[in-house]
This record gives sequence, structure tokens and C-alpha cells, in this order.
Amino acid sequence: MRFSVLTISMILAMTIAGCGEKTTSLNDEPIQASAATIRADGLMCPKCANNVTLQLEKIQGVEDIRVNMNLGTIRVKLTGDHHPSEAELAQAIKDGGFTFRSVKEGDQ
Amino acid sequence: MNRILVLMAFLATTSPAMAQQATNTIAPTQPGKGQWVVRSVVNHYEFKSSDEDPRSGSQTWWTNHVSYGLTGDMSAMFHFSEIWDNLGDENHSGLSDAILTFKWRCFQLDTGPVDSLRIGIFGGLELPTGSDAFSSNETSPFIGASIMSIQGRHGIGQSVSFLATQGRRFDAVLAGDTTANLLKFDTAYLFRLSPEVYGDTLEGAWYTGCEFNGRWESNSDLLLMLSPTLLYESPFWAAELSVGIPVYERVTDRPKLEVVVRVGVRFLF
Repeated sequence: MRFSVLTISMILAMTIAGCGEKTTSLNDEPIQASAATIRADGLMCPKCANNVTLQLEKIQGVEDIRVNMNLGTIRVKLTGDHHPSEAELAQAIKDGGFTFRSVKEGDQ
Repeated sequence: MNRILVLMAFLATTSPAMAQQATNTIAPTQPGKGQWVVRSVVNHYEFKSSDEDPRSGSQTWWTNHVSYGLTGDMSAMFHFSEIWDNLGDENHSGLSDAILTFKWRCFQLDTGPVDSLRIGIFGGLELPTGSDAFSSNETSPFIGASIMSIQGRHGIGQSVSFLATQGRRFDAVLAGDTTANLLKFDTAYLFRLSPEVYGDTLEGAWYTGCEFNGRWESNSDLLLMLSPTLLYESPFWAAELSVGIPVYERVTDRPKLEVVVRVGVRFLF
């Protein structure tokens, strides 16, 4: 009985913890470089990973999106007057259903 | 024998879970925010006569699922099925109940580029369509949970759901068709055949695996099935083939299921 209550409590705690918004501060300034490399985790399968492409395509100034599932990297070219910020790219990864790790300026 | 069945059912509902999306095992996956997935599956069932129902023949369901990503971790899904019935001496067709589902991925732990542990809960309603022979003509609620884990080329998933059945289909032949409540428990294992390692661009992948599908009803009917599966997934579409073979079946007032063949396609927009 005690074990069952403990197990259910742990599952509930994990669920609640997982549902919380992570408060990572991300840069809102436009990225200056003409390319960026995003690191993301949980890309799982080709159709899942393509969610990232479809989300990034919605952002103005993002072109030529290349997803490498093995490395968990998404390389994008940034064109035009409006370059996206780190926060915009991170939100696109989150909206695709994945975990954003970092973004580096340049084609790395 | 009963102890083995109880143990199998227990394992199916409690085993650790991981999987890419198999045919029957509901996964805590969904389209991204503002995106659509359309899935079309044909299920062909072959039945043989039982002690309480002398009919034999087949039934074919063409089910279409439309999913929409409300947010990155919440989605809505609508299913509707056309049924062709060739059981006994009569042939007829019609619409089954329509199904509205809401899914929320409430836990996500991504530990590597393709590795992930995810948990979701879902619920919804089976809605009457007014099709006399194939709709239950009542609204039935259901609730469930799913868990999956992808670790490299291996994926295991598990889903459990409970349908509080309010109505009965006139031509009841499958679990959930009668007024008995239905507990579904599905476990899936999928292995990525190829590519062994993903390249530097998005490419298609082949998977094979097996599902264990359980259907227990509150009138004590029980169906346990093994379903070998083959799945191809490209970045924009997927195709699936699965054959369900009953390993244990205890039914009342309806014919026995011999085999079910499932063929489907999925598209991402």
C-alpha cells in the first residue's frame, strides 16, 4: 500500500515537473550572421523531425533548412532585412515538439 | 492458463515503455503547432463462427484520422470510419461512430538527438453518426494514457484506455460494440531497420516490430492479439502494414476473430 502511494506520488510529481514551463533566458536580438546552427534533442523519426522544418519555414528570413538527425543539428540560412532572434528559433523548436539546446551563429 | 493470461495482461499494462508510432498503440506524439497529420487506415477483419454466433465472413473498416497541433504539446484529432460488412448472408455498409480525441503530452525528457521519453494523456468522445447498423446511437466517453521511449534504433510504447460504452451497435462483432465497457491495452516494440545511422539530410526510415494488443470488456470478453508490423516513414508521409493474430479469444454473442490485416498511410502538412 505504502509502495503504491509512493509510486503514484512519484509519477504525479514527474508529470507536474514535466508540464512546467522552463524559464531559460534567450536573446531577443536579431542574429547578425547569415547562417545559424540550432541544437535540438528528441527528433525521434523523419516525419517527427520534419515538424521542425515546417515550423522554421514560418519564420521570416529563414531559408535552406537542413536537419541532421544523427547530430541533432538544424542549419539554416538567414536572408533579407529581418533576421530572427535566438528566442524565435527556440520557440519554433518547441512548437515542433522538441527540446531546444542552443543556437550558434554561422554554418557549423 | 488463466494465471498466464492475467500475467500477460499485467505485463502489457505495466511494462516499461518506449516506441515510434505503431499501428494500434497510441503514442504521445502529435503534429507540431498549426500543422496537420492525415492518416488513412484500412482494417480488414476475418471472422469465424463461435459457439453462440454461427456467422462467418469479413468486415472492412476504412478509417480516416485528422490531427491538428493546437500547441507544441497538445492536439485534437477526429476519426471517422466507413464499414463494409460481409458477415452471414447479408452485405451492407455504413458509417461507424465518429471519434473526437484531445491529447496532451504532459511529460517530455529528450536525452539525445533522437532519444526521448514522453508521456501523454488523452480523452474524448465517440459520437453517434445515425448510421443504423454501425453507429451505437449514443455518445460514449473514453480516457487513456500513453508512454513511449525511443533509444537509438529501439522504441517501446504502451497505451491504456477505457471506454465507458453507452450504446450498442446493432451488428456487434468487435470489442466495444456491445454495451460492455472496454479496456484497451497495447504494447509496441519497433526496431529501425535502416538507416543504421541517420545522415546529414532528412531521409526515410524502415521499421519492423510487433504489438501486443489486449481488449477486455466488462462482460468478461477478452481478446489478446499479436501484430507483427512493418513501417516506412519519409519526412512527409508514412506507410504501415500490420497483421493481427489472436492468441486468446473469449467472446459471447458474436463470431470469433480469425485475423485482421491493416494497411495505412499518413501524411504531414
